[in-house]
Amino acid sequence: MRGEEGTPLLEVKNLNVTFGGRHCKTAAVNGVSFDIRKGETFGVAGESGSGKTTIGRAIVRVVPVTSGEVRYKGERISGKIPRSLDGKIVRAIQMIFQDPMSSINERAKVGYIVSEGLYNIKGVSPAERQRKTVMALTEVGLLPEFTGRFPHEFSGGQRQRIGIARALVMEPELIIADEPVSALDVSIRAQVLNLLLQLQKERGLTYLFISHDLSVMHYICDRIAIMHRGVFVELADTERLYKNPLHPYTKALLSAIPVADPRAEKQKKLFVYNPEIHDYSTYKPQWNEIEPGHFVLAAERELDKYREICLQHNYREGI
Amino acid sequence: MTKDVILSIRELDLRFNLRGRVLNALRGVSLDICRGESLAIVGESGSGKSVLCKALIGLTDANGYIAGGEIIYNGKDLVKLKEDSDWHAIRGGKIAMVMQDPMTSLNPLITVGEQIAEAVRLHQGLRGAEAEKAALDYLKDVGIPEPERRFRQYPHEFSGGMRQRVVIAIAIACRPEILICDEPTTALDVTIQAQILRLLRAAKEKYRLTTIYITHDLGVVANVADRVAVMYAGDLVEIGLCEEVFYDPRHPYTWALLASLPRPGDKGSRLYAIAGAPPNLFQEIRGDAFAPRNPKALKIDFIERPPYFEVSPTHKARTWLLDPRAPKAEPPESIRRTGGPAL
Repeated sequence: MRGEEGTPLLEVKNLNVTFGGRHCKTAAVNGVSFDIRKGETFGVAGESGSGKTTIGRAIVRVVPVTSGEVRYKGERISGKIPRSLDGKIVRAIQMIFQDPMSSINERAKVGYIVSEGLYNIKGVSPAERQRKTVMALTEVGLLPEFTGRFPHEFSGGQRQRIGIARALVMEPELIIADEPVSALDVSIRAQVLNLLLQLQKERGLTYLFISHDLSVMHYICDRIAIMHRGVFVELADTERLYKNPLHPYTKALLSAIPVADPRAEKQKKLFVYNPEIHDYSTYKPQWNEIEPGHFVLAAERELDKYREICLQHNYREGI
Repeated sequence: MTKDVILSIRELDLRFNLRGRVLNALRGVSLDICRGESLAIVGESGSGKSVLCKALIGLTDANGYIAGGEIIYNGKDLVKLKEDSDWHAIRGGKIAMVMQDPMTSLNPLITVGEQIAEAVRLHQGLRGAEAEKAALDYLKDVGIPEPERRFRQYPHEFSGGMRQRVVIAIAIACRPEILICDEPTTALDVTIQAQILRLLRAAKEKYRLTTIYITHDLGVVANVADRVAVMYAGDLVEIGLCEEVFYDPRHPYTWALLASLPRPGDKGSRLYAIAGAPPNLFQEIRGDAFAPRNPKALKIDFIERPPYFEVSPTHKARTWLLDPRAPKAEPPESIRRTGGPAL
């Protein structure tokens, strides 16, 4: 298991993000807490509109945090922070976006797109910038001579590589990958996933991987949090989450994953989540650690049931 | 399945004129579609799967033209239909289509009920209250809660999944024989996707439809298809029953597609990735279109286009590897491991 010990690289505590003014307030993220350890791939899964992208954007300070805090290596990076820290964070945390067709400046050459972030750092000479750009491009499997070309000359997979090179050039420690492979074809997706894994091995990168594709997440993530309407409903190690999901929403989501196996797929039992099965009128649901490293959102009464399921599961698995 | 061919595509060539250059979107596609079956066409973006289906309902873009081949439906060659009015008898009424994005395929200014009633009036000849009642029944049929209230609402009051249900209701209300679903669930969340696929399967049974799915998601294919056609660079490279293609694939491109899917248990190991990019369709393609990306390509792959070799009466693939003279080639290890026993 990657990234087990030490203090977390990123801590998110009770994060709230609210959009809209007085009349139309929407809580996109509602009291979310988690840690990301150095070197791991932490996944956030959920449907569209569940707030998973907002978490990523709040961490890189694109959207303001309403309450709660984000800590990077123990330092608070949400809200008002000194300029020097801001500069440091911009370099340390980078983002990769979903759609390589719309996230790249059409009118700039690849060389500029990749090196743009470096212009903000004092003391990087043009030669140094050039060297770093070429290095980043080579690292993602593109050729140095591509610096003089425009984005439209590239295919979707290559453009996503440009997006990755743009993040790498800043030498980040944490990369927030927001649906990095959702817009790509199957065969290209495999190339990009391989690249992300290889970079993680070589550079010791930490990823926050945001996606709705649970089969990709099963492959790439060490831990996964399942998000539903702005709150986390469950968080666990990938294997444990897939083998022993507790929250009914997690079960529904996992049951719906399409599998490329006709026999399995045609016998599949679909589980539909109905939020009304929880009775939260008297007891509010709490974020509980039900077994080490396995969190679930539940009220006191449900907890006993979940604990029972965990015990049975562990007994079967011989833990 | 008895071979009752409802639609037959023969050697279809479709080209586009793009700024004086010619793009070969379909290069001699032949396909028989049987009555009552559910066929899935899989391929990457740009492989021509949408172009093929649009040709079936005469919706090819203005700069596209059919350069050869025929589409036989009920003894009539659809390629010869020129005027839009000729198409009206076919499009919708006989062959209906569900588009990918439910956000853009409905009219935002007309109530949902009216949009279904319109299809009912046009294709079933019902009038007034009768048409509305029939439309309401279709709305119930596709599983929309509180259909009476929803009937009077506008598309913006519906969620993505619900809108896709409405689009399906409209398509079914045309009473088609063939229903083409172009990436019906790509814009939807996984949980909704599974529900829509279930609905489409139920509708196929109830209305005895022949369904054609276009998709790039092999999970969707495994869910809905009886038969699978794999498309690459404007050509069908492999056609077979769903089990045959998934458990006993023969074309190197099909191997690569299946092997590049992350499977449980592969965690951390490298995925099989196809090197290179799809061919440029502006140029004449010599030999097997997949050869440049195929590490095991034979010499002949670069010279002559392979014919279809039959693996079983229902399964054929366009690859020289199936020629008796070809050296034996094995699919990548990862699909041999997870693939079920050959049928």
